[in-house]
Amino acid sequence: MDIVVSMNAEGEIGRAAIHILLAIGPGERHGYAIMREIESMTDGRVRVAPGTLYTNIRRLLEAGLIVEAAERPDPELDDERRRYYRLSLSGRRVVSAEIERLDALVTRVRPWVQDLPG
Amino acid sequence: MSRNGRVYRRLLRLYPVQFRREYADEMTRLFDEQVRDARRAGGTGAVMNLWIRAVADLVATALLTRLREQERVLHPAGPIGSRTGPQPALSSRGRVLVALTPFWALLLFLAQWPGFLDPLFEVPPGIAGMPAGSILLAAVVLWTLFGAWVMRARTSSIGVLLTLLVFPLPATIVILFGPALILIVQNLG
Repeated sequence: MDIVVSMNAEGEIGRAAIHILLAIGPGERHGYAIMREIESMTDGRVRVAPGTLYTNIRRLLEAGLIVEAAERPDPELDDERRRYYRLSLSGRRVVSAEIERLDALVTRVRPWVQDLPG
Repeated sequence: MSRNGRVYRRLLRLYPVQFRREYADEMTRLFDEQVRDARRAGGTGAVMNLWIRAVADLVATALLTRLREQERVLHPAGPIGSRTGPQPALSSRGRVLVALTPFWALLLFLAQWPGFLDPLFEVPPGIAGMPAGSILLAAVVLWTLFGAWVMRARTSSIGVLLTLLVFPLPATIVILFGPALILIVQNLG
């Protein structure tokens, strides 16, 4: 199934945006947790600054790929002013499609990349 | 909110008003937490590094956000992340900020390498008794300010883009390559 995600003028989802979608994962996360998760899942190679994070969150919300969680956390457990985000159905589809695309790409190029000298 | 957070929050004024209303609190809280983490991990050096990355990120994303807001005003029914309801217009002040942003970004970039601009002032030739660099920089600043003034009247995205290409872009290029050009001219002489 083709999924069209109009995130930029080229009709492609950006690198930061896909990292955010992957970092949100199956549950709900606030901005700081998303940022930490991105660092964690990329072994610190990708770091997202607040500007990139929230401009992308806004665009993902507008594209309907994520939604803001209606319920706020227990004030005793976390700051209740934090906003939590979770994947929408479309967001889950985009993540699945992106994973399949990357998987196919890696499968295709791995043989010759392994043979590269050095 | 920490002192770092208060300064960062002031810088968020580069973003459009609507964006600030929605995300300024979240961004400031996140930055405060990043500062806390950086301080624990690497002290003052790590905090400075964080500041450099955060400001560069802020300037770049603020510029993009303003351009997108402009696009929305012109094409409210556009397919890219379009919103319903009234659209915030890019004010003339906002357009001036857009015109100046590449210039500020370049100065910020150059500030990381003290001495980069020295050839402009320390090496002859001069013009009318003044270092060539002074004249060059004055011309560049005037050209950029003139561009900001022209930008105030631009309402289309093409107009904004053309103004950026004609004014701030050449100005930043002149600053970037000015020192090298001065040295080349001197060696030719």
